[in-house]
Amino acid sequence: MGQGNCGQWRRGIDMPAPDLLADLARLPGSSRTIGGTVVERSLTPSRFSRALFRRMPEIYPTLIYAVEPQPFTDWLEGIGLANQLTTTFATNSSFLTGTSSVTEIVTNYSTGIFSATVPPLGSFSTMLSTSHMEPPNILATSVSVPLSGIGASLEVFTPMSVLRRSALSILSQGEHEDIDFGAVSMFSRGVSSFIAREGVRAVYALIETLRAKPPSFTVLGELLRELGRLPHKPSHDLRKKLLLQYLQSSSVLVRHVAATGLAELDDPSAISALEDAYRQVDSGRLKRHIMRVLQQLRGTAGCLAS
Amino acid sequence: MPRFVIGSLTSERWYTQADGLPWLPADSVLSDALRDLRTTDGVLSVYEIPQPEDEALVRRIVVAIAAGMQRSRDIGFLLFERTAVEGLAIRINDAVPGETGDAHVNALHRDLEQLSARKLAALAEIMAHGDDGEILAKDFRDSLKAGIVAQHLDKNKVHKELRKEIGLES
Repeated sequence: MGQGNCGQWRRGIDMPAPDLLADLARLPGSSRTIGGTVVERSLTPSRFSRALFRRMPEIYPTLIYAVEPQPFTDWLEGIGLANQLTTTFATNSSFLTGTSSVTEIVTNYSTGIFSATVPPLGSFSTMLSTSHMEPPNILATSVSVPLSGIGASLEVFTPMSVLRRSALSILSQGEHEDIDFGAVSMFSRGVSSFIAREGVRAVYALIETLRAKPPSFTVLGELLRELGRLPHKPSHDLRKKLLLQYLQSSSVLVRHVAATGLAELDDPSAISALEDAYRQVDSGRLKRHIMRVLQQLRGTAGCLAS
Repeated sequence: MPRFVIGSLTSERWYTQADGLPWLPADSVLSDALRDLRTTDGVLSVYEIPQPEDEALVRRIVVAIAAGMQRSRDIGFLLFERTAVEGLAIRINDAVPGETGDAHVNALHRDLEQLSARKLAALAEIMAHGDDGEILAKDFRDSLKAGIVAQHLDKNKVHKELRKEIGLES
């Protein structure tokens, strides 16, 4: 399913504010299919989505605030969102009257989740979500996050506070583990399963935790290697941006492991940043290391070009 | 001048003052380097590089040593002179063959024996100021496959998980 399926959903139900989904579908990004009912769409939560968000009541005058009605707050409680939502909209004609042609637009400033949900459609509900979370300070520019359509599942809404606690726990585990060279450690398993389970938001949680409580250099080194080698496409760009940020560290050791992570990522789009980093080092191990990484990525670029 | 090579090192642990750590004394190495030198009964394994030195053979040694890893990663290695080891009065035993999957490499194995903590630290500083090299994870996987295809390396001596990772085992 891709963007075309968004249109199909619109045609299949009586949706009071269909243009919203159309606007969502127009957000920049790429789509891919996961199974039969799940669409994953990468987009950039740039000014576009944030501006759309702020103008919601103006663009969709039929939307009303919907935090008051008891059925809605019960529903929020049931999915664990009641304490997080700061602003909630629903359509005037549908959700509150309990009909099946419902569009709800849920905004959550604290976790950065913005979703439009269309339940139920046949035997499953669909949900589109995107994040408008401000990138952490370490990320100066906008980042890509997935836009997911998930049948009935609301796991995407695992609260960020919970994710941050998980991230902290994983990093603490790394501090207490004597990681053998070339072994699959509990730490590396923890990082990879965390991201596989929670997706891009797990990477955000790790970034926030790294900023709040920097780990030892040893753990950071293992983490950046792991972030580089994970085969998780939706978070690829975010992980790359994180590695590139660390490549600009004042510490030669941190730059070293960031370059190692970029070698694991093997993305030729990091070449120019690595060339800059190479020029900024006079001599020594770091310069040689970056050159090796550059040689690998240039080779990869050559392979891709051919 | 004959040299030894030691492999399976974490490169960033071997930074010196000249590499951008101004707080380190001139002849020293980061203490984290000692984490890479795991001795057993006061013995450390190294490999002696035949003269004249052949870069391809050095890589072959490093890959053979690392083939026992559970999964691929970047592999640091260091080359240092035999005379420097002898200068520390460290006993060199060339009668114990290596245990890698490469018979040629195994014949180059040397045990540095009767090491005290002090000698090990001095040895680490000598190593750190030798020549450093590195095989990145992707290169390692390619070299591992090439070694098996060329029949230098016994596939069965490669860690099972690593064999899976490079697609040699389902």
